[in-house]
Amino acid sequence: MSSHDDARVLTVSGLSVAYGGVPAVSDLNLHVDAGELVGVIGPNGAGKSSTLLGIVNAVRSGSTEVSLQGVDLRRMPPERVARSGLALVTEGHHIFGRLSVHDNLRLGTTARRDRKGLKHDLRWVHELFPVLEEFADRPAGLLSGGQQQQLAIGRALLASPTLLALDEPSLGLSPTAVDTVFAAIESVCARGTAVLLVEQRAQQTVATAARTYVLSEGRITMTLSPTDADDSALLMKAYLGS
Amino acid sequence: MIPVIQSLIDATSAGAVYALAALGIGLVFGVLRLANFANGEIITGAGYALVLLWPLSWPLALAASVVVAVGLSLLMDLAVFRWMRSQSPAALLIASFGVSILLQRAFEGIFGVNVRTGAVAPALTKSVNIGGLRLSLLAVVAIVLAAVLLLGVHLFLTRSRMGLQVQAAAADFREARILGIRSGAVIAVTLGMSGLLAAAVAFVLTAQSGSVNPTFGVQVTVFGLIGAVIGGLNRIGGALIGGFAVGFSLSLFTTWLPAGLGDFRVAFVYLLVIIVLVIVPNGIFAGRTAKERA
Repeated sequence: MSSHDDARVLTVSGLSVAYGGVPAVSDLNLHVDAGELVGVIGPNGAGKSSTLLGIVNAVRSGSTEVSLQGVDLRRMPPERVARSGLALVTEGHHIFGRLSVHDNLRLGTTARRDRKGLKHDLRWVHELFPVLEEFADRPAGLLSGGQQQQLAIGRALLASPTLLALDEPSLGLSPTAVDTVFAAIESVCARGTAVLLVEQRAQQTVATAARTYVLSEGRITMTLSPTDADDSALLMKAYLGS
Repeated sequence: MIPVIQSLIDATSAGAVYALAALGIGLVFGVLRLANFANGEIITGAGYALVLLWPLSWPLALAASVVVAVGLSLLMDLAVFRWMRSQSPAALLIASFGVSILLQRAFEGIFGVNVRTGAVAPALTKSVNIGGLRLSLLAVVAIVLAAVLLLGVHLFLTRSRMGLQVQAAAADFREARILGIRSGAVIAVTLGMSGLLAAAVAFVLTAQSGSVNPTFGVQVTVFGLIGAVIGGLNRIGGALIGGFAVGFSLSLFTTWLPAGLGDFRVAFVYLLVIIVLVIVPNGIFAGRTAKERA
C-alpha cells in the first residue's frame, strides 16, 4: 500500500458539487499516479467542469479526501491550490485578452514555488507552441481560438505544476489545432508531469490516456483502458448509459 | 481669447480632479465589483486630516491624510465588503451607501455638523501671470498632480508584477485565483491605491476651499461615479476619461452658461450623462470588455 501511495499524485474521494441544491457531481472518486495521463469523458452537463472546479475549490464542494502528493487541498483557497502544484486550464481558455501574450505567460509563473528553471521552462513552452514566441508582444485577444488554447496551456505549464488539469482543451478548435494540443499534452506527460484530461472527444482521449473515467450525471459509471478506444459500441454505451 | 484659455485651463484642472476620483472608483470596481459610494467619506476623512493638521505641520497633515484615506479604505473592506464577496454588485452598492451614511454621522459626532476651516497649502492660492494669462497656481498644481499620479498608476499596472496581477484580477477574478494570484494581496493593493487617489483629491479640494464638512466628499464622488459609469466601469482608462469629461464639462458650464442658467449646470451634466447612456448603455469604452467578463 505504501509504495503505491508514493506514486500517487492526486487522490479525490467522495467529491460532491451542487449548485443551489441541484447536484452536479456526486460521490466521485478518482486518482492520478505519477507520470500518468488520465482521462475523464462524458456528455455535456455530466459534471466534468464542476469536478475540476470542485477539486481546486473554485466552486463550493464537499469530499472525504482531495490531496495532491499527500497535501490536503480541501480547505485551501484556489490560489493556494495552484501554489501547491495543481495547474488548471479552465474550459474556454480564459486568457487575459487585453494583456500581451508575454504578460499572460508571466502571470502563469505566479504559482511557481521557485524561479529556478524558469528560463528553461519558458524555452520549452516556446518549443511546444512556437506561435507564443512569435506573437509575444501581441494582445492575447487577437490570437485565434487554437492559439489562445496554446497560450492557456503554456501559461499553466509555467507554474511548473505537479499535475496539469485541462478542461476540454479541444473545444471549438480546428482539426489541426486539436492535433497540436493533443501532441503537446502527450509531451507534457512524457516530461514527467501528471495530466488529468477532461474531454468530450471520447475516442481520442481513451486512446491517449492510461485510464479514462466515464462521467455521467455527476457519477463515474465506467473506467476504460486504451484498448477500448476502438470499441465504438462500448464508447456509445458509456455515453448513453446502459 | 484669453478668457477662453483661462476657462479651459480651469476646466482641465477640474477634470483632472474628477478623473482621479473616477480612477479610484474604477480601480476598486474592476477588482471587487464594488461601486463604492463611501469613497466620498474616504475623501472627507482625508480632508479633515488636512484642514485640521495643516496649521500645525504640513508634512504631518499630508502624511495623516494618506494614512487616514488608505486606512478607511482598507477598514471598510475589512468590516463590511469582505463579508459580501459573493454578493451582486447591486448589493455591494447599497451596502456602500450604508457605510457612507454611517461615516457621515461619525464625522458629525467627532467634528461637528458645521464647516471646519483651515488654510491648506495657502501658497497655492496665488496666481501666476504668463503672457497676460492669469493662471491659478492651484489649477496648475492640480493638473500636474493628476498627471503624475495617473502616470504612476499606469506604470504600476503595466510594468510591475503586482500591477499585472491586479489587471488580471480585474479582468477575471476567478481565473486569476486559479493561476495562483493571491486575492487578499490584490484587493489590499487596489484599496490602497484608491485611498491614495482619494487623499490627492482631498488635497486639491481642501486647498481650493480651505474647509471641510461631513458631506465634503459626496459631490466629487457622485460625479466620479457618474464619470466612471459613462466611461465604462469595466475599463480603468474609460473611468478615467469619463471622470475627466464630467469635471471638464461641469466647469465649462459654470463659466459659459448664461447667468440665469448657471445654477442648473448640474442638470446639464446629468442631461449629457443620460444622452450618453441611452446611446451606449455599457459606457463609451466598455465595448469588448463586457463580453470578456461574461
